[in-house]
Amino acid sequence: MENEKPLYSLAKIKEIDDDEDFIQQVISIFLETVPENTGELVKACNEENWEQVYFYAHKIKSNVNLLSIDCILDEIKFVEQSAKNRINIEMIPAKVSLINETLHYVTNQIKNSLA
Amino acid sequence: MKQEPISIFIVEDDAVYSAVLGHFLSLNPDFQVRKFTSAKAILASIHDKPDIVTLDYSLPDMTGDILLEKVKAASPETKVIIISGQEDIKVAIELFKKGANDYIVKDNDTQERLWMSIQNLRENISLKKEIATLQQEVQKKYNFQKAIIGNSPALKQVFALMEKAASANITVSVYGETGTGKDLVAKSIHFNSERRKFPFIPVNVAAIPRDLLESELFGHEKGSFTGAANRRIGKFEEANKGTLFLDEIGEMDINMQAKLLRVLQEQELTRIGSNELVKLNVRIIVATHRNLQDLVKKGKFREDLYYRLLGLPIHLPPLRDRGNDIILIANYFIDQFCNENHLPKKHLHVEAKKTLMLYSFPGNIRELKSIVELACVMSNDDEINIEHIQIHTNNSKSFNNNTENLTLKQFTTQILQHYLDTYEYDVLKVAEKLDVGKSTIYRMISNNELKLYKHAEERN
Repeated sequence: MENEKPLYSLAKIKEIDDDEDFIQQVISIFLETVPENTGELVKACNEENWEQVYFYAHKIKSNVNLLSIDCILDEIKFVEQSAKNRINIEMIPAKVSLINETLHYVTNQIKNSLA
Repeated sequence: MKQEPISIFIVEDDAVYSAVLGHFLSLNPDFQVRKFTSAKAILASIHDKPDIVTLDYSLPDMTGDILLEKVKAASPETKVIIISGQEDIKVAIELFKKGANDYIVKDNDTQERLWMSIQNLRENISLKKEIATLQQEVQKKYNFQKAIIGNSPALKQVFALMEKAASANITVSVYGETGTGKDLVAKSIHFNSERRKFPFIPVNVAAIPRDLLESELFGHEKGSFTGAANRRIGKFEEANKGTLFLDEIGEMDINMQAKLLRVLQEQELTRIGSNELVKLNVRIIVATHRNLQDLVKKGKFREDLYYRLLGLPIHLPPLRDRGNDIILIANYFIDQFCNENHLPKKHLHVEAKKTLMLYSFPGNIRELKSIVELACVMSNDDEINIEHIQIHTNNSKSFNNNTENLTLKQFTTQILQHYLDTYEYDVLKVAEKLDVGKSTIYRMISNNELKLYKHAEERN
């Protein structure tokens, strides 16, 4: 697992400022908030609360974008739009679970890189 | 132009994004950034009136459009940039209608776009701030007590009248000898009145050729007379909502007076060559060094216009009647001149003060200014002595010299000559002023003890 290619990149953050403290700060906030928001997303999805699904997908999208977690960017956008417009509802749970697993995986990758 | 720091409030509930934006904007040391995570939090601090607010469109407790309205209502000058997670033209248009200054979509170059947007708004903000400071400065400059120096009783009366004039929307007529500061009084009244945010337009009636005065004041349409190549707005219209200051009104041609009277009575005018009536909202201040009543008697000034313009009359005392003000003003001009010319601070020697106090100043403050400025140049150290005070008119002579060794007869002659010079050789007036018989003066003139003209060498 350690030899696997990371699914994220810090390039966009470094582009803003490659100050080490700043990058550490962003990463630690990311590790705090993203799992929390992902948990809320899963919960809302289980409760079929599409309003909340949209809200959390929308929030996660900008973080996923910032850390260039490109492999699930399309999924996030799909969930966000579908939940907002109440379409393709039946496809949302599968996408949400993929997003959840991937983000779980990415946060572990990030934690390992820090260790 | 030095750019002032500007305060930016970031409203963003996403902690990661907030940290990134906050850090990014803090890279510019002039940006004072504060971060908020909810609508409630920023509304609690909106009284700090930030220059710029960046709003995340989807906040947990309020949508961006409602928060935008609340921010604009609480702090109308604040610029708002909406940052939205997705592009939606309809929403964007609605937000612009509600007063948003920019709309940025969260994507890979959000930071750059935000940076650009803030730089643009910043120029706008700096300009507005500069205008506000300048307006304050102008007002400070024309604060009565600061603009007009002195504390003589004669002047205090003038201050009281000026305050009345500033607080009411009444026509004001300012009378005073040349150089007493009539234009300064007019400006001060304007900049202390409710009209101060609108223009103050001065027109020197004596300085504009007769034939042009009408079009200068009322404006003209293109082609209305030879040489009228373009449409032109007159001074009356230019002064709309503000103040029109007609200086040297006594010099106005009698035909023009009739036209002016009509405009003042009707509160409206038509430009030359036009049929269109233009409504006026202008406060009029007039000034003259002449005695308008005399001009009315001589038939040179229309009586009806005189009464129309009289309004609140303010008589500015001549400098010689203002006692110690002469020294106060002299000191002010000395400090100002030394400051501007990087000279060391100078002060007046007691003898120099005496000379100034005894002089009649026919040119009033204007003359005093040129005398003390010359004295500043002539003096080599920090003191201005009697020999630095060069008074060029002959009527100074009598009082300039040491009077201690004179006989009573010589002294009387000097005083009489001084008064004759001051009152333009009006024997009757001098006799009245000094309470002597006019025949005494005539006798002294015929004996060549007094002169009824200035010596050529003194007429400088």
